[in-house]
Amino acid sequence: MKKITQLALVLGVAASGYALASPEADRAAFENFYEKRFPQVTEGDFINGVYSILPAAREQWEAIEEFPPYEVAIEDGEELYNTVFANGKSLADCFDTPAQRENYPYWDADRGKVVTMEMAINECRVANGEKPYKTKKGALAAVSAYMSYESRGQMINVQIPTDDAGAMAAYNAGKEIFYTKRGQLNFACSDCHMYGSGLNARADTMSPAFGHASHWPVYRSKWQAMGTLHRRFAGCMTNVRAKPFKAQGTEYANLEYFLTYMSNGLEFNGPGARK
Amino acid sequence: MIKGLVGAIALSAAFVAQAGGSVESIIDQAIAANKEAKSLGYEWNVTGKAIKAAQAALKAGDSAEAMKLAAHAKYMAEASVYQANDEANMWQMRVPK
Ligand code: HEC
Repeated sequence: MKKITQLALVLGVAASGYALASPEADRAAFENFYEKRFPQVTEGDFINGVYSILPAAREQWEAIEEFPPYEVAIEDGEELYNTVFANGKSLADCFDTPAQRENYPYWDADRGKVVTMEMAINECRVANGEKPYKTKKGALAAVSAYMSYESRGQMINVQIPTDDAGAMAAYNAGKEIFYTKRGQLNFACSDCHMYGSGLNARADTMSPAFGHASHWPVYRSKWQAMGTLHRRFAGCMTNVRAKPFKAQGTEYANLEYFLTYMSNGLEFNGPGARK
Repeated sequence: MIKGLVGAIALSAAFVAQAGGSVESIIDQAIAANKEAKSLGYEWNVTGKAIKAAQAALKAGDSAEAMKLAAHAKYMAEASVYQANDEANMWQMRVPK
């Protein structure tokens, strides 16, 4: 009986410990997890995804990066960014500079939601009487590629205002998605990209999640095209036979908020190329 | 967790066998459970298709096949609800400290 009480006490303490973990403590533990697991990775190199831990594949990838497959998307994106809408304005009128990555995702307290850069692009279009772009590929990925390219070298520095209950709820909702098992195959993001990182799933080595948000959108050989971060989220959820959430919907915006915050201190290096 | 899931599936299988409900009512239960899973954010991408397959077999008049497919759809829908409830308590354990 005494043992049970003690156990309950320990669990109770542990549980309240969970509840109290601040985003900053989460972030430090997250980074520490990967630095311990992959001591060979030099500082800042986790932004290169699975290539940060696979020297053999890296050479081939670096050769690809010399003639990057996302170059066309950057050019298309620049054109779209400056294309005049029916009302005479353009995307360029909504942003003071295309180098916007460091400002996203952010918690918009007035509207009570996380805003991603891709959302802001579409909101600009809608505000000017244009249709929003489709959210996973195509024009949105191209504009995003151009803006990411212009933002290269900016630091990831997502803010979680801990005194704002809405922001904390969004952060915690994103965190919960990352750590919960889903789908018929019963996998959490963390099963593969944290505890399984560096191991193989079929033909692929699973990348560390530290650095996951740095390099979007991505040209993926498998897609033969560009895709947004939310396209990738959806693909990973589909792979475990879960119904994916909507790209640019609340769930993925919250997940992006959490995941990008976890990489604070790393550089933005998008757009990227992946297998 | 996997054990729990298997348990839930075994339980619901036993329930179907005992209840011996009509195919229609089992399909309705599958639909209801799948809706609940969806509202919890835990819908599986295989369940909707399984429900449709059961409905198609029923419509085609193959009641034995429809019963089998309906029961399968119901297990999956209920297992996904079980997963949602179980995960609500489990996930914090995976957060590194
Ligand atoms: C069953 C294992 C598995 C699960 C579960 C999984 N993924 Fe993945 N994921 C992969 C594999 C394999 C790849 C491709 C190789 C790589 O880069 O990791 C990948 C790629 C990615 C990438 C691209 C990495 C890059 O460098 O461009 C991101 C981002 C990602 N996953 C996020 C997630 C998120 C978020 C979740 C949870 C919703 C998730 N994944 C769930 C296996 C998984």
